[in-house]
Amino acid sequence: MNNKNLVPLSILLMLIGLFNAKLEGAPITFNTALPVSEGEFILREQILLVESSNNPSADGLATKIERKENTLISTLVYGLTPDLTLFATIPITNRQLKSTNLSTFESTKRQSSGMGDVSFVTRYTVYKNDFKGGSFRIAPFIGVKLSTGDDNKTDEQGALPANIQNGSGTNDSFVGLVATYASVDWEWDGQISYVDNESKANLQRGNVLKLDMSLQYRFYPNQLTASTDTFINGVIEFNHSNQQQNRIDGVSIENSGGLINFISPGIQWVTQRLILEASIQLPIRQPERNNGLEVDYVFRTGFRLNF
Amino acid sequence: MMKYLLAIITMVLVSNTNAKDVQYDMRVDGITCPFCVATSAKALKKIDGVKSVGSDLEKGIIKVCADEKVIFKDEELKKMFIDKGFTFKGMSKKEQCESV
Repeated sequence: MNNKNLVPLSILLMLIGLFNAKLEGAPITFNTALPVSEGEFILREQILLVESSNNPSADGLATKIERKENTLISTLVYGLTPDLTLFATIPITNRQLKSTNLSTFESTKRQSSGMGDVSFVTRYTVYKNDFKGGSFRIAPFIGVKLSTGDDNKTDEQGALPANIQNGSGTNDSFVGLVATYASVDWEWDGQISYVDNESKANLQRGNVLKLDMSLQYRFYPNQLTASTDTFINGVIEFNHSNQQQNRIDGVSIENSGGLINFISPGIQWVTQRLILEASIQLPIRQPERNNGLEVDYVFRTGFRLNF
Repeated sequence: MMKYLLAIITMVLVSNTNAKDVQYDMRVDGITCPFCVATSAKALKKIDGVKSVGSDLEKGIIKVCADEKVIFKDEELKKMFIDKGFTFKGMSKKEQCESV
């Protein structure tokens, strides 16, 4: 199915969810404003599979390029107070770039593995309105991504390209606001954030504005009872990202930055201790680049455990 | 000796029979899913005399089955649920525990 056809389908699913379904859960591709209890931990493990490729037939190129990324993202969440929550995230990643000559079908593969850039986030609830079977919360957050991943890896061909290095080589900061309306029947989350990328040597990577929305609907059980302790949720999410072009010595680089939108259907199994979840992010809009890689899909699966 | 042993066993059985469990229905605003209830349930289960904890999400109620000797105070519960991120609104007592 053409990814563009997924837009009306997804909107339809969201409307069906709004008016008919029982919704509950938390977003898969971004955060929620729901609380973490004081003194309690949540461990979140997420496996991220990203595949990107170019389109040599459309661009008249002789080389097919494929990029694969497999990352294990570990996040430890701690409720410092009922309103103040701390997040620490460590990614372990494997990134591959495969080039195939379409005339000879010879291919070369380059790859790197190791720890990526760790990040720390703090989130503070500034507005809370609890009611019977529901809550509405607004929480700004601020964070930093540190250059802990190796960004100077080499192989026998020399320095690896930046898009398969483990780290970015810069300390970047971000700020945002997340809002959540949750009830026993449905949950909506929305987030806006801005990433301020530092420059590295003479390269200034473009800053990024992100907008994310998530709707979670409970389709099992259809009716709550006094003994309900497990939910199965359908999830539909929308991710918007707009990155400024990269610059070298102040000059904008073509084939960089741009606007990308994902639609992300997913599923969650929610119990008292554990949430299991999976989603697939499908691009519905992304920059058309000459000789450039375009995202084919992003698959996420993992769990959250409170202890 | 056998008489004393029987008397002790009888006293234990009688005292166990007399230990009555009651149910407190705690109205807590902000709980919306099983995952949200977990930390509150964990804290309540640590209280001596609490036998089991359940929830009725639709009614926003956390059900606590406890020995009748356990005394819950509104102010303490209010503080505990605030720490958990939720809002305690009040509670009622039932003379018998439901299956929770």
